[in-house]
Amino acid sequence: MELQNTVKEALTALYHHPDDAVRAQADRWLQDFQHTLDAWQVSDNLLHDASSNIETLIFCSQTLRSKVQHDFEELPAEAFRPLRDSLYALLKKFSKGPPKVRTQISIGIAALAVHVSVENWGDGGILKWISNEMGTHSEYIPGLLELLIVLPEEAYNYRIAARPERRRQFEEELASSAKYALNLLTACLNFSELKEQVLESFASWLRLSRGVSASTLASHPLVQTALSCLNSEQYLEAAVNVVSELIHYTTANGSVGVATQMPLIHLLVSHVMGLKDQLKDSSKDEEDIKAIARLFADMGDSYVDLIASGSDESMLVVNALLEVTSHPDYDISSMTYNFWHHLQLKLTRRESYSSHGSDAFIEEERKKRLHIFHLPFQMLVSLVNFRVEYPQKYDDLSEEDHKDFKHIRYAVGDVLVDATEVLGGEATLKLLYIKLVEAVGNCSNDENYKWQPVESALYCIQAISKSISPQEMEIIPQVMTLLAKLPQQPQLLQTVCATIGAYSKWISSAPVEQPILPPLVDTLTKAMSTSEDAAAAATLAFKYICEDCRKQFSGSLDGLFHIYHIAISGEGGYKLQADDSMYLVEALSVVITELPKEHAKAAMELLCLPSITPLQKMIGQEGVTFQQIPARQLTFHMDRIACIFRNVNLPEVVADAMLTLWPLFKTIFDQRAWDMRTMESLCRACKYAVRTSGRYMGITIGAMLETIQSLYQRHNQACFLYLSSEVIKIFGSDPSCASFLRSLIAILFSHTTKLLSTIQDFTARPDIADDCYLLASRCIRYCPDLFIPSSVFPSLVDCAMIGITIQHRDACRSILTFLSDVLDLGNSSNGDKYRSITDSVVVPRGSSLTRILIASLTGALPSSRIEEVSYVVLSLTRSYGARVVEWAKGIMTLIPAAALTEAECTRFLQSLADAATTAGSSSDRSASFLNMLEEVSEVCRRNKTVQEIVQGALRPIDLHFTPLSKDITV
Amino acid sequence: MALPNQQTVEYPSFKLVLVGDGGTGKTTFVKRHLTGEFEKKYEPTIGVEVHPLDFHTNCGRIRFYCWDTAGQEKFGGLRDGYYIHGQCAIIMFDVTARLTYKNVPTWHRDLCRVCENIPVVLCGNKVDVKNRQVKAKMVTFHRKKNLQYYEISAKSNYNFEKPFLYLARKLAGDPNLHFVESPALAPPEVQIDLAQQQLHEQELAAAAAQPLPDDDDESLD
Repeated sequence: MELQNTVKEALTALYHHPDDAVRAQADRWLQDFQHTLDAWQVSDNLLHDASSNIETLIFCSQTLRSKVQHDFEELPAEAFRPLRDSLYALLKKFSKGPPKVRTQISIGIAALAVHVSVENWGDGGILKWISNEMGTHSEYIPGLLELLIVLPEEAYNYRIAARPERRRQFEEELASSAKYALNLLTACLNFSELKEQVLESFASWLRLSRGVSASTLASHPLVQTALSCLNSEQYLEAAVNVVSELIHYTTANGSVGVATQMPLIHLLVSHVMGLKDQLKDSSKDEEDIKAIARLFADMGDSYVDLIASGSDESMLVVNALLEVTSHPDYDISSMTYNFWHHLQLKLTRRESYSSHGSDAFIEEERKKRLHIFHLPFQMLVSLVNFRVEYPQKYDDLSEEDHKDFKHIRYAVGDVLVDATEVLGGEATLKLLYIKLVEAVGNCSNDENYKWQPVESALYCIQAISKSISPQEMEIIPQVMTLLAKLPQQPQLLQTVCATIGAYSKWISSAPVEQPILPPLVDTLTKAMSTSEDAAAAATLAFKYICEDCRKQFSGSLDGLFHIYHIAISGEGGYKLQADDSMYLVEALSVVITELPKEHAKAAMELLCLPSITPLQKMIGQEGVTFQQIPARQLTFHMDRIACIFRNVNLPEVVADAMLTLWPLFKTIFDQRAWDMRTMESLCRACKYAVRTSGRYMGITIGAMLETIQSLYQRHNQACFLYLSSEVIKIFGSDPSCASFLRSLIAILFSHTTKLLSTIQDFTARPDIADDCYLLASRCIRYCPDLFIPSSVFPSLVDCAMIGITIQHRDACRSILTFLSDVLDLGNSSNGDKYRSITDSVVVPRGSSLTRILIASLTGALPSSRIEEVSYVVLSLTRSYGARVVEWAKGIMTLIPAAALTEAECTRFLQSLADAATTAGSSSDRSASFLNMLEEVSEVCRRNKTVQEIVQGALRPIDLHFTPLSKDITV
Repeated sequence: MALPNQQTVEYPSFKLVLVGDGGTGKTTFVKRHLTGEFEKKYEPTIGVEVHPLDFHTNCGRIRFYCWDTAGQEKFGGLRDGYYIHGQCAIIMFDVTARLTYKNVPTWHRDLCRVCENIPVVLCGNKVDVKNRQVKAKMVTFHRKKNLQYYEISAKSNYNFEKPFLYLARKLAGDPNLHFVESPALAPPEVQIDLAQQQLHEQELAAAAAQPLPDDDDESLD
């Protein structure tokens, strides 16, 4: 009784107390309460207590349900019957409400049915009971109907602590009684006030109705009712849910059974098609319109194969979907965009026609289909392109609405690209060009220039640029001529620049006799001073045309440098943001790549100068002041240098530049090694220098590595590891670098293993853990001869074992990848020579490693990590076969039978043994092995108690630095 | 529905339930509204935290009591024990983690079983992150009734008012309702600088928790 009162008080506090601390305390208490054995009885009592208020009732019904879902196994076997009967009684008691309590009781009963098989349930199983009660007590029908709704839903509820095997069995039990359930529901149709619930329940049973034939459904009263309810306002949503499930039902078995599904499909399609006019009915509720549109979209998505046949009936469906696409509300229109994409794929891919035999027949059929769908896709183009037009009051919209508008434009761009696949790029271009000409023609040159339609037509043209051949000679030349003549309205100019950039490949192959580039460059230059957006588009266009027309540009580098210097200096009225000026740097870099070496060197110096001068100035200040400069001021310039090193693809030139810059870099390294931001930026610049210049790096590489390995030991910056990773990739296999790299590895790794000696260290510095193991994996790939025999290798494996259970996603993945790389190395093509070393490292640790991996699988890591852990287990098994089984045997005995039964343990060990004996096994086998690991993982995580038992038994965190040669004692 | 004792406010208030898998950014999202801070260090919510959030609309002020619930542990918190009296909800998933989208139907169903017919916003968070796993086109769950989808980025503030605006419109039954100023608690000038400063420091700290971005690194094999 006292406990019951405490529950009530805690609930009042949780839901109503103004003080956070009091609420938190109540919350904590209630959480603990739910995990007690008392919670069963207390909840049950309070549910039967007439004085309980609604909050208490709902909470107790949820608690009882949670107990059944998670903790059913804590009850003795003989408790089942009384529990079942009490839940039955409660369902009856709350039959008329409150509905939410009734719902939770129903879910509780359904969860109980998931745990207990039909045979053990008694009285012929749960459906039999529902049927009997319905027949004798019609007043309980609302509650029983609720139970019929949730039963199929709970078949897929992974929160119920049932074994996967039992869950599959339950699904089978339900599937085999689906027909029976549908009969019960049909009988309930006599109560018109229950129609909505009946439909809801029917929808949820359809997922388990594979045993009911399509022809039965086609004439089923429940289907008839649902279809007729499509036209009722009251039941529309319920009916839409049923029809949507029916559509999925007809496609659930793949295309194999299409013929038998056809009568039902026809029935569904004809009824959905009957709703077409309602889409345009402005008096209808917006949610109802959305529901109807959803049916059309579902129909299109599900029947795209049938629709692609191009039959007369399917063309009606296509036309209806065009109407949905034309709906003014973007959210509704866009529901169809997936359909158009998939239809396009279906029509254009050769695989769709494989049944047509020879190539000639396939081509013929493909042409025929594309012809049939020509008109609808033309319509599609005309129906979507208005959406990209800037609204009149665009400037009044919020920043977020501007971004939404941008996203709509991208989505429409994708639809247009789909259309080009069916219509052909040039044909689509023609349609869009007509729009453009119209829009331009409608404009007078006066103040009221209506630029929006011009802009939108142009936007569409740039969106399909990838589908237009660089040899197109009819329309693009006219577009290009037009571009320079359009007025300098900022948004229009922005799109003009985007178009120039998008057609850079076309521009590069334009005939030499037509000097097409200069006027376009003029336009881009003008855009630099027009608006921030226009300037950004212009710099991006510069980048594209420099990439594609680098040869044409190499003669006019001075002009480009002129633009660059104005942009960098901030004088000259350019409205360019710092980030966007990076595109100009890229543009110049690729043009420089085309220059003869001597010219390139000079140009490179010119390009770097605006970044170097300010850096030198900053360094020139008194030491203390340089330390105080905000990182951003330094990284701004170093990021530019990185961009140059990355894009000037001339190894010797970049190496020279690096040599010149090294004293500057060295100073920054030495002065700012404490500053993560600056170091990351500097390391990135160095990384690109290494990547581009490779072996030309010569003496700078040595100086650089010496610097970072000494600084790493004092400042622990992860980016030093990351830079080393690039070095390993480039120089790892170069014998002349061997002794140098050997000492680099030794210093970096031995320092890292000192930093990461407990799981807390890992959690505190996931960046170091991540970069350390990425580097280690690189070493395995590029210089195993240096890495594997080194003394740091075993310590890194020890360190990895400490860190596996880190919760940080990327760091954890890097560690796991490193371990599987180690394990797979011995099995690789020339892995024999490493085998004895990896064996000597792995075998003594095998038992501990296996135990940590099993602990990770069974709960020490979140379930989203299971796949990666499983892969390591697989690699381990492939390499150490029977030994792994032995290690695992010892470990599995630690797990109490309450968590994992003896049979489950045996099965687990057997699959390990199977995987071990079929080394180099097929992917089928690996898949089933991985599947088995997933199931074991699920069983061990089925509820809190079990998970705690398993983790308590395996204690992965305590395993660190256990004596290697001895078995672990617990 | 507010906490009655706390409801010293004269204007309409609504209980908003914020749910979704752990690590999807629910706490970051509500905290964003409170202080403009962005926390990158991940500390899972245990149980529930209630945050009052005020918005100014053309029809006056409204308040959402946001119940930020634990998503992380399978067995943590009271889960749907917090949903009672919920009048609207936000379901959050992380576009960089597919599983969090896969679990959306479960969150939605659990919610609907306690709160019938309430307006719900589905939010795909972290759209600022490069390696996106759930593309906008793959998101179709919001075709269901009373469900609206927004892509958001708690980190860059992208679309952070939109979910609240949709819910406010639905709750007020007024499709033309709009916010007339930025959310309440906009800090005064000096504090903005402070917040900026904090943000900068947090980014520094957070960078430690993130591997160095490497946009063009080839895979290791």
